[in-house]
Amino acid sequence: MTPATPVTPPSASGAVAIIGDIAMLEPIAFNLVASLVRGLKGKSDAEILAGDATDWSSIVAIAHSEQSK
Amino acid sequence: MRQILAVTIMFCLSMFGCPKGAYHSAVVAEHAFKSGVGAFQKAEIAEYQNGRISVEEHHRIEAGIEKIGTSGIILVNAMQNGAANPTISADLQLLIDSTTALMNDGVLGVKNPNSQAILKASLQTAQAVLSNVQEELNAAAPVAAKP
Repeated sequence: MTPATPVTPPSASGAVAIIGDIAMLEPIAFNLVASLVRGLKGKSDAEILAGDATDWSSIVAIAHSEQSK
Repeated sequence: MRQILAVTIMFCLSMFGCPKGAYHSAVVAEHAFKSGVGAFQKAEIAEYQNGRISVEEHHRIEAGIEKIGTSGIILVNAMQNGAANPTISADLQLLIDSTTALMNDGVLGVKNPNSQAILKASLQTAQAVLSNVQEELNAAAPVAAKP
């Protein structure tokens, strides 16, 4: 009779890493959804794109400024 | 997988009650990607200000974000002006390439493992959105036609 192969329980560090991964992503995803809904509410496509052009310019300006720090 | 789930939820929420159409879907996806990059930039600056990212790493990442932002402006202008689909696809490819470069040259070079994980998760979420934009464009040729 062959002895049953012992089942290795998931390691505590592995479980912590997975939980940490989910916790890290969830706020990011939640913030994205919130930002998306806020940005789209009651706006036409043209208005969304106009706002996005401004936001992109702001992102570029901040990135440029941060590189000189 | 979780990124894809998050993006799917995001799209379901954002599309509810909105007028349908490939152009609108592309606009929504572009907006989501822009929000993702904005969130990534905020996270990166916070990590830098808390001393978890070095000056060199910070400069390299912000340089990558600047390239993405410039590509984003080009894409938005093309969509606003109703450019032909191949033009928009080429602009989008530029964005995708910039995002990949930011991941490879900036994020993956961050030495602090926690900071790298946060930034990686954030950028991957934005990249997942970008994949959806590309699918929208590939699925419907007349995307650039404004309603």
